[in-house]
Amino acid sequence: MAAAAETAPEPPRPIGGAGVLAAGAMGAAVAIALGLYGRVHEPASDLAITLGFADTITMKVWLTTVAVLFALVQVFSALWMYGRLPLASRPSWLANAHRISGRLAFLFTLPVAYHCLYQLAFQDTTTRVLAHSVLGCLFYGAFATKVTIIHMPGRAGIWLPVIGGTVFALLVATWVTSGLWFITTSGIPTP
Amino acid sequence: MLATIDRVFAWVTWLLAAFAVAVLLIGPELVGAEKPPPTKQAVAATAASGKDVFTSTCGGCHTLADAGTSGATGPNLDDAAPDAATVKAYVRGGGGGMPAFGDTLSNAEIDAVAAYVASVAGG
Repeated sequence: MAAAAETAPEPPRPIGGAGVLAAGAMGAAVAIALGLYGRVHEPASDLAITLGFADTITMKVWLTTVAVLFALVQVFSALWMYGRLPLASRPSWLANAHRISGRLAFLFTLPVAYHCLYQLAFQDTTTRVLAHSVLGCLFYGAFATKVTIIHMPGRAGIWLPVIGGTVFALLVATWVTSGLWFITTSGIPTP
Repeated sequence: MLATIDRVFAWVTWLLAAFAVAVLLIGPELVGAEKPPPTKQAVAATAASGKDVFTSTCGGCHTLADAGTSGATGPNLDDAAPDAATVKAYVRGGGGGMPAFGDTLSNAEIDAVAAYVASVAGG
């Protein structure tokens, strides 16, 4: 018994404050870099990316909406993993499904973000547009922070759900100020 | 099975993220797409289409004699005779009940329609 206790692997140590600060600094750097790029880059004029959709704005509305849906899967699977849902014990595939849904959500935002940054750049013409520009930069910064924390040695503890929730909230807020705004003002675009 | 997909997706995710950054920095010609002209050139190239943009996007709500539109939802632009900067600001950001078109029209289209309205309104 005592021998078993001696040979049992020690649980990983929690990530310290310095690690969290470093991850936060990484995220801040990403957000600021994107904001600066959008500010100094001269907006393109006629860059059309449709990826098979009717037009660019339709593509952006649909891709961001799908990204939000995958983000909802992330939140649901995270709550399940943390035992916050009245469901059976977590199945073996849950962690993989959680990661895949997160990666898909991120991938679906990439063409949208590229078009936003390259064609429209950072704009502040209205409160909504300014909020969207800031939130978009913060989303990728928070995402970078989350990925950094995940890959740090040690136990993320409370920081993982905190930053995960922040990433989700920022994605939804970015979508509300663009995709949802477009849907409510112009209707659901036909793909 | 899911674990394999997860591993593949990890690589795909980082490769596409790196690709997006590269295209941001280098430009869309990295993948053979034609690089759009700078804004000023684009404005010149599309100035003639300002009337088309107005007719298709704005005419339903605004009256403008030169364009032959008689929309009554928004101000009569022949009466208001706004300058280009004012038109541009409203088209981009909306205001006073008018929706913003900053996300639906390109910069060139906005510049073109602003130049067009300013040149013909009240005339």
